[in-house]
Formats: sequence, C-alpha cells, structure tokens
Amino acid sequence: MNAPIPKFTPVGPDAVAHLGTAPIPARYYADADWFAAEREAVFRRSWLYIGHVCELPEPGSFIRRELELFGVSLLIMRGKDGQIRAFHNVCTHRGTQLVEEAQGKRATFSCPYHMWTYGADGALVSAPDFEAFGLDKKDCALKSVALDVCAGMIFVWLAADAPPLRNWLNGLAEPLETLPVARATHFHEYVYEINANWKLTYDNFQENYHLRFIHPKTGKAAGGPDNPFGYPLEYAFHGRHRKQRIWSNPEARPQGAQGLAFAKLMPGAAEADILNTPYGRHYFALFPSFFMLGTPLQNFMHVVYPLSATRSRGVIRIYWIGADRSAGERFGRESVLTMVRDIHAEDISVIEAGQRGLSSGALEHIHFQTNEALCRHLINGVVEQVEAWQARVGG
Amino acid sequence: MSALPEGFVTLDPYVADWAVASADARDAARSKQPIAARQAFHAAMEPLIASALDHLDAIPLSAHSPADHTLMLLALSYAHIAPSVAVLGADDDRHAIYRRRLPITRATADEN
Repeated sequence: MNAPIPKFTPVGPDAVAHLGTAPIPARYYADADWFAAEREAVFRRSWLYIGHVCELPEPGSFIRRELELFGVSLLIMRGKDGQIRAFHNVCTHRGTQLVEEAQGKRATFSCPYHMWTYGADGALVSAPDFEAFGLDKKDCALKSVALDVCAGMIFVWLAADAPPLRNWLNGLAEPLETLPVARATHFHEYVYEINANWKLTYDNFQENYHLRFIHPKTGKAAGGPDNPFGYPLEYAFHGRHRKQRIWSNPEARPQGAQGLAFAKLMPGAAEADILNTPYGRHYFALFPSFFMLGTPLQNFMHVVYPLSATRSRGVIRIYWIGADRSAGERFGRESVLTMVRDIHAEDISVIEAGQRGLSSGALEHIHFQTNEALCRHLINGVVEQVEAWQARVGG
Repeated sequence: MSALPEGFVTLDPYVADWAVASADARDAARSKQPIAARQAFHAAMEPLIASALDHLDAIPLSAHSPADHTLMLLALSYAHIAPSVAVLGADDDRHAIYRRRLPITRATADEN
C-alpha cells in the first residue's frame, strides 16, 4: 500500500518576518550611483565564482577570465606544484596584457612586448637585459588575487581583505561539497547578456511566484493542486547566503523524451553514487549573484555578472561527473541542457520588461511577498553591505 | 545507400537538416526550421528513439561507425525537438529569438 502523500504546507510569514515587510526602493535596481557603490561594497568585497578546477586539469593549465565590471582580466593557473592561483593578466614591466587565449596550457607566460617571462606560479623567470632595470626579480612577480576553492568551484576576491572562503560561506561549504559539482569533470555551458540590473535578473531565479504565468508548459510539473505556485518547502538563511528546499510534485512523472532522458542518466548517476545525496532537493544562493541547484541529474549553477546598472551577463553551467559514457547518457545530458535553457528563454523578455519599467522612474518602491523572501534577503544584504562601506569611506 | 545503420533508413530524409555537429548548431537548426519540419522530424524520430539509443548503447562511443555517428547526431537533435513539438508547440517560435540569445558554449557531446 502506498503511503499517503503529505499535504503541502507553505512557508508562513512568521518564518521570514525577521527580513521585514517594507516596500523596497526601486532606485536600487536602476540607479547608476547606487550601482557604483555596489561595485565597491559588494562585488569587490565578496568571493566571486570564476571557474571550476576541471578547467585546470594539469600543471600549466590556465584560463583567462574577464571581470568587465572592474575592467580586470585575470589569469587562473595551476602551477607545477598543483596549486591553483589567480593573477592579474598584466605584465609587471609596463602593464601589457599577457595572454589573449581564453584557456590553454603553458609552462611559461611571455609578454609579447619585451618578453618578460613568468612561470605558472606567477614568478618572473626571465627578462631581456634585466640588469638594466636595477630591480630584483622577486619584486616583479605577477600581481596576485586572492583565490580559494570549495566543492571544486574557484572563487576570487578582488579587495585586499579576503576572509577564508569556508568561513565566509557560513555553513554552506559542507553541503556544497556533497553535490556532483564537487567531483565534476565536465560541464555544459551557455552564456547570455541581458538589458537588466543584476539583482532583477538574479531575483527571477529566486522565486517561483512567476512560474505558472511565464512557464505554463515548461514549468507545468513544478506546481500541483495543493501548491499551484510550486512554492518551496523551506527557506534557510546563512549570513548573506540563503537556501531553499524545493517541493517535489508527487503527481509529476517525466513523460516521453524527458522520461527517456532521465532514465538514460540513471545508470551513470548510480555509478557515481549521487542519487541519494542529502541536498539533492536544495537550491543554494551565494551572495551576491551565484546560485546552484543540487538536483543530481540537473546540478546546474547560474552566475550573474553585472556590466552596468542596467545590463548583466549570465553564465550557466550544468556539471557532470565523467565524460559521456554511452550514447544514452549523451542524449540524456543534452536533453537536460535543452530543458534548462528552454525555461530560461521564457524569462528573458519579462526580466527586460521589468527593467524598462524600473528605469522609467515611474515607481518609488517595489514589493516582495512571503514567498519572495530570498529576493528580500538579497537586497537587505546588499543595502547593509553598501551602507557599512559608505560609513567606512565617508560616502 | 543509407547514411544510417540498418533499421533506421526511414530517417535518411532528415539527415541533411538534423544530423548537426554541435549542440549550438542543433539549437540553431531548431530555430531555423519551420514548425512543419520540426513536427515531421519529431514524428519520424519518436517511434525510433528508444531503439536508436539501444542500438548505439550497445557500441562504445569511441567505436561508433560513421553511420552510428550520424544516428547519434539525429538523436541529439531530437533532444532539442522533442520539447519544441511535444511541450511548447506553436509557442516555440515566439521563444526562438530569446533562446538564440543563450548561445551554447560548451556541451559534452561536442567534446569527443
């Protein structure tokens, strides 16, 4: 006999009352001065996702990453000692950018201008006629950037005062390390640019209130008779970060090609022992603009990088353990990519419509309800961090 | 002569449009092809996809013949077309412009 299906109980207002209920000033989502403060207070002083260790498989492997918000180009490299380090992609002689390739493998990195040459640990190895400078090579290493790794994910901190990543994650490091991403060797990726503020873009993925209206077909399985909005079961807050436990519609069973895709993914997932992980139904949101779904067959992350007050770039990756082992697994993985991206494509126009409305100046405030608590938690954290920074610098 | 393994020759008419070499190109084909072409491909693939994957699963990926590889590419295009036809239907055309703003920059099927 089947056990009765427990009735869905929504999160009540008391559970998130500590976040407040006041309207939120609309200018936070469009104002250029506020955005400039966020750049310094939030993005320069947070651990920012920049890549995954599987992109640096061997000593000498490197990736170049641009952080347009700061006009910064970074080289992330694995040294001969296996250590991963981050450096500004800038020759210490006269500032020329060292590397144009997005990724590759090299033992040394030579500046094209005057051939100053660096090792994969950032040290200056050689420079023509170096004696003429009267400098010490040890003072001419590439400028390093704080880097740390959690669950295979590489994070950088641009300011000088980086706290240990593990402390900063405020209890989320251990759950993240149980997810497939921690052992990932491959990933799907798609990218996009959008005419919208980073928070407006990111908030779209922090609430399910919109699902039944924007995703009536692709998101149909997310809701059910006693949970028509597909709201989560639980919210939890970890300092600036947050998570939610996703509700599973007991009536929903993947059909057709989707069902076949998941069936083809199951043997590989069982072999990798990821089907019964403790956080397989959790959504993790790391301050300021990273989130990851722990779902073992759709372990995807989404990072929103601000470009301006009203323009952002997103990177989505779906992580996999091992190369495609069979045709069926290859089909299943491509199907998952299609499912995630189809839903996302439906969000673009409504996010940009939101930005046009907010940029028009028509509204003084916007509003978040109980089940938009994660959006409220984000803006609360942003405002606290900006105001604390302004108090420190006298802004 | 068929471009496909024995048992799948009825899919030959779809090879030119749908045996596409990368994930992003498969999505582009989805966006480019009119709904009638998507429906026709879906109708041809749907009854064969399970047996096609069974056939391909019996052979290591590295040992696929050219005909097997072509069948694999058709199966991967079906991964894009099944939701287009069976889930989104006519709405798919409206979303195509936004989907193309999400270019696929990496996919495991493209790597080997």
